[in-house]
Amino acid sequence: MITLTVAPPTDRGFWTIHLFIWLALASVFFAIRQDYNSDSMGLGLFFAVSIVVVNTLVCLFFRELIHRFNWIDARKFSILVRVFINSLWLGFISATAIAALLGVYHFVVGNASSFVFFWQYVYSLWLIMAIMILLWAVIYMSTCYLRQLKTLELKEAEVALQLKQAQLNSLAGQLNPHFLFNGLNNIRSLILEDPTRARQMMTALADILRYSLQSNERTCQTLQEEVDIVRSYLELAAIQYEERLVYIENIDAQLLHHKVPPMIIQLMAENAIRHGIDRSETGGELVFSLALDHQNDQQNKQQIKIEVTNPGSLNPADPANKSIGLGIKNIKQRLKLLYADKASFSLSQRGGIVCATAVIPLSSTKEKAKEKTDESNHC
Amino acid sequence: MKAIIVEDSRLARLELQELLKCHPEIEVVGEAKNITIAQQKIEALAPELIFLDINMPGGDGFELLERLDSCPEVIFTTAYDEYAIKAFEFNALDYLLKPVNPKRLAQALTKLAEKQPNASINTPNDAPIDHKIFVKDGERCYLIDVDKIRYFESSGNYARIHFGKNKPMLYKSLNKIEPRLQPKVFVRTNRQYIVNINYISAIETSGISGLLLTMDDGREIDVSRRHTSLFKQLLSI
Repeated sequence: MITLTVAPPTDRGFWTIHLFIWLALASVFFAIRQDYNSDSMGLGLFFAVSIVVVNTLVCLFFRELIHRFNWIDARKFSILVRVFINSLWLGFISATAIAALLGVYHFVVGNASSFVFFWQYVYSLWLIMAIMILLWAVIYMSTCYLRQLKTLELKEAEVALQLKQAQLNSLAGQLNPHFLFNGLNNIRSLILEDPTRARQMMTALADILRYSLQSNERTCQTLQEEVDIVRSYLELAAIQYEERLVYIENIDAQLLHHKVPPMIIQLMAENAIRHGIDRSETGGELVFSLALDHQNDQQNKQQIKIEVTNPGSLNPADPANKSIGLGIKNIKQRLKLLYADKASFSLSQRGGIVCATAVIPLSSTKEKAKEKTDESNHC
Repeated sequence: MKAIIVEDSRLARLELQELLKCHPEIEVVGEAKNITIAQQKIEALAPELIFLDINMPGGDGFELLERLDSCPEVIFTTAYDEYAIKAFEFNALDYLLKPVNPKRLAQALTKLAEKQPNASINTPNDAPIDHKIFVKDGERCYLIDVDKIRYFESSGNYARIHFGKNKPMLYKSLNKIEPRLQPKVFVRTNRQYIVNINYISAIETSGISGLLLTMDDGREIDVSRRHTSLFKQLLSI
């Protein structure tokens, strides 16, 4: 629930409903008293105007109370009780003020004798004013409550939309068409030069295609599988970039049976190629390392640290970095959806080297069980 | 027809060479793996055709065209960049998607061969020949046939090229442009303009010895006294 310390400024809707309530009451009073001929026309009008003016002031004050103490939810019994009690004394204030104004009127007109019945007047008005103020309060609170519900609903819809967008982005980000078609073109050429290698490359491309098509269907697979795909990917990249791409691997083989979400390392490698090797005429080293993270090494909370480095810069002014957002966003969003705050991803620059680092918790036994059910469903 | 292949991937260059073996009329005189080498080779070898990859390190294909003073025919080759080519206002150039379909290559070359004879009629051999000028003005790219240009209008250090319904900005001064143009077609009339004499619709005398030109788009251009005699000589009036 949203807590409002101060009442928001009044708007047109508020005044429409507010004036409708009080003008209705004032006109009923006016009509009845004119009908019984108990008041002169002037007194009747003065009375009607007093009702509207006094109660407008009272209601503005009440409105302030409602917002400061956050009495918006009219469904809560405790709040209703509080609003009821406040309506009673505000009704008394309202009735007194109206009676006083009438007294002043009588005094000015010269009917001072009516002044004697002041308290009688107050008591006769109190109940009706209290009821009307309570009615006003309930209507006011209900409209406020409905409005809050509406904004909440809008927010929920927005969150849902963002989630969809993220899913679409990940679909789009998973296979770079540039890479695919360049790969096919290179293989076509390689058939002339080195048919055996061309055949290997065709298989590598098939593996990548299959993997990226299936990655939407599963939530996790072993590091071994992901590393194999990264290797295939870099082999294919090597026939495009040749001497520009030097690939170095630092992998702790003991970690390879652990499970990770698909396409995270793959996307990191793709980013490194796209922003590091592809943009550079000289190319350079792409280093992929996989190790246990010893920094936050608590006994039951082990983490894997994945690092991919490439030559380049993170300077946002560099036009090559304009498109950096999508792949990174994709990785961050997926890690957040899967691990909440337990995983992290960051980009940093040391000298002319850009380093992408992902830290992912090793799956605990509980998660492993969950993954197994996932696997039986999907893999 | 002399051609050059500009492409960063060696295998892709090899592939294109192989495909061009079926087209003996195309003689590949050079290859370049980036636009710096490409610029040198184009200026040295003066090819009539460039096969140009768009996505390359150290500057893309468009940047190469911007650097060239004169543009030969261009066929873009790209893996997945149609949107970049669609930035072009005119279909003055063709593009091939990699891997290149041999039939598409044949079509592109036929189209080029059909265009070729016209170009040689319009441009006499004794003049410096400028087939095309590449202009990138903001988001839009133009590859302009030089003989379709009405006039160049100076705008500070730059020049506005008036042709068809367009007037993109070229980031070169009139003084830089002038020597690159055919002197029998393009004439400097004053500090502000270089006009194409084929697009003049009326000539009036103005003042004692000056001339006033009306171009076919209605623009009136003064010929300054300094340029009048040269201008009269050229038109033999």
